[in-house]
Amino acid sequence: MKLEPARLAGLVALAAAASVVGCSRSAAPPEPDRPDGILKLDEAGFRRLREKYRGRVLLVNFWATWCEPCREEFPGLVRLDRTFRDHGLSVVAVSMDEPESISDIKEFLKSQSAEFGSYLHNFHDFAALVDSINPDWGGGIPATFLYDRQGALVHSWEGGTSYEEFARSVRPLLP
Amino acid sequence: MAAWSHLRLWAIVLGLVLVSGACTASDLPATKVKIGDTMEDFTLPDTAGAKHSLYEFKGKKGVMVIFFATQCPYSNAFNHVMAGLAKEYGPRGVTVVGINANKTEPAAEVAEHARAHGLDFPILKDEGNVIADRLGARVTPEVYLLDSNWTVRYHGALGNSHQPTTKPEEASDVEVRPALGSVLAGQPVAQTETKAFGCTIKRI
Repeated sequence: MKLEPARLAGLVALAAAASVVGCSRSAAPPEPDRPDGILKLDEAGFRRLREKYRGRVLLVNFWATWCEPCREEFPGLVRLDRTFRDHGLSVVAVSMDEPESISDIKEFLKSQSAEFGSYLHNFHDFAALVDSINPDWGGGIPATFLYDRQGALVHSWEGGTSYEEFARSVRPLLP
Repeated sequence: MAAWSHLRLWAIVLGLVLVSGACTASDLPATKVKIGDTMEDFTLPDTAGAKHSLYEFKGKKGVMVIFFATQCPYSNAFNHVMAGLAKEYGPRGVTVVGINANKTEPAAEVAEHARAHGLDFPILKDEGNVIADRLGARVTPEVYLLDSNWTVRYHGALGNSHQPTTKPEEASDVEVRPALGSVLAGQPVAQTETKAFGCTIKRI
């Protein structure tokens, strides 16, 4: 079949548009702006945060400065962020410290060279939040939750976890 | 020959059954105890090494098992709550038993912690977190309230499950207290489970 130049140009344009759409489907959207400071996070904020990262793989870590296993685990999170950030993973840390520990939190994050979003818990009903995230979460920290690009919870860890274990679960979810 | 093989097979099977039936105190079921289940007897050493069994508290109206830590701020915020409950409910027939199952906290440290914070009740060391596994305890502080028949009637937080705290002045016993009242009165416990929040038990 012979194509007229005008129809051919139209088809080329259509194919180009389709390929753009195809690319945007396979790649993760850019990471939302991360907070420069440490923002307080309540239940509504946690829901918004999950929405904000929809389209990317999201790893949320609950920790505290006084929690030794949390501190031991933290370098693995920093490494995870650096390794996979450009491949579609976002790491977010939620501190369970008391509000007056904000300087300790900042100091620790600086010492770790953490570059991901960090929040301080301000939950009104922590038991309800735990149940909404994963009813099997026993309430201990560190606790880490991995969401896929559609925002579904796919993995939960309670207790200190290694970079390798996190990475094993993250890799298959990336675009 | 075939008959002899069968005989040998049966002998082996019988032997295995006999061996598996010879349970020791630490051979507890692998499943976790749930609300309404009966907790079987177990034996653990105190911080001085003396053995104590759960069933030595037979005749009490209840036993409140509290998993606690020495180095966890969440647990430490409740030291005075634990001490207060033992003082208040001991004379009323409920014994508080503290269990430390953290592999990172040796018995001597646990003993000193109990002395320093007035934890004047039996303090047991769960080396190997056997009892923590059986009860399904995951954090400190975490409570299991058993009645006089060793039935688990309440599991969860002492208080503050909605607002976790590391501040002693905010720590309360508002969630376990109604359960204690019900057990003492022989009534059903209205809220049998709450969410215990704290530091994960450092298991082996």
